[in-house]
Amino acid sequence: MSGSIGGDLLQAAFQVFKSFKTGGKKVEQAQLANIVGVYEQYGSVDMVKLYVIRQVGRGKISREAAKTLIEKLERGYSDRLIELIGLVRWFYDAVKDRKIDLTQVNTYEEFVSKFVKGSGVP
Amino acid sequence: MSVISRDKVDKAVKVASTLISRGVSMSQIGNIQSMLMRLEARARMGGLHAEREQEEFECIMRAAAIDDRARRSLVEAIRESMKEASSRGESPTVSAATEMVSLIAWCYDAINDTVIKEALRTAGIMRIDRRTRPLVGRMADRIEDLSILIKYFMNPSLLARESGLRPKQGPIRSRRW
Repeated sequence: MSGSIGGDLLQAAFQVFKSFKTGGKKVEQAQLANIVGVYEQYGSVDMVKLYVIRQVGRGKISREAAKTLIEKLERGYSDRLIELIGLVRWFYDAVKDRKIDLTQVNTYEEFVSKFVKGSGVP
Repeated sequence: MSVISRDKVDKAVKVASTLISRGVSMSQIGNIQSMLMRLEARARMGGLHAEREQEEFECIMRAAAIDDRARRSLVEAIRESMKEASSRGESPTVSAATEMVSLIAWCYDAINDTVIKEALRTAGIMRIDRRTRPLVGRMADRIEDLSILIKYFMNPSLLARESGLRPKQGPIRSRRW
């Protein structure tokens, strides 16, 4: 990892996760691996943006999810793409066997709080 | 890892938008792609001289049943890509051609299936037919590089407005008052 994971990156990852989970179409976790794969294959964040836009047209990623991810990449997280997607995968893993309603959850702290309180029982 | 530069992505976006505006279909691009891949496979197996490889590449591009302006734009982008690969000492250079065509195909999908379709949808146009096809060309012509593609992806109604459409009202010129 290129640096410490601070609150900003966690918040950004949570927002991406939320958009992936609650957008018009829920994004499968495999898409995250594909995004990392594209980045590793081409070494270019631009290719990731292009890939994500293409996947919207193919119905694999919702428009909202793609917009959120591209916004994050345009706002300075492009050099931490692997960490960002890595954290999104952790969020996916965390809710794997649980049903958590994310509609009222807006921050990483709220997510943790909801998770600990057990409102998301398997 | 083959690093793809921003310039190359921008060039691919421009070529893809030209192909769309000139009415080239995705299946035609797929045909070119598969012929180049077969050529690459033969070149990799060592059965072709560089000269012969170049000749066959030219032949494939001449034989492609696409509009001339689209062909020129496509050939120019591929040649540039092959030249770069050659200067880096990569062999066979036709692999740079297949990579470029794949990149153009991605851009084509992103422009056509994601951005333009959504822009048309915001204007109330749900399908592309003879009447709406010129609009697609006009929209594609506006997309000149990746940053413009992203701008219109983020705001598809902007593309619709700038192409002469109004939200939910269809083409302005053919609207019935």
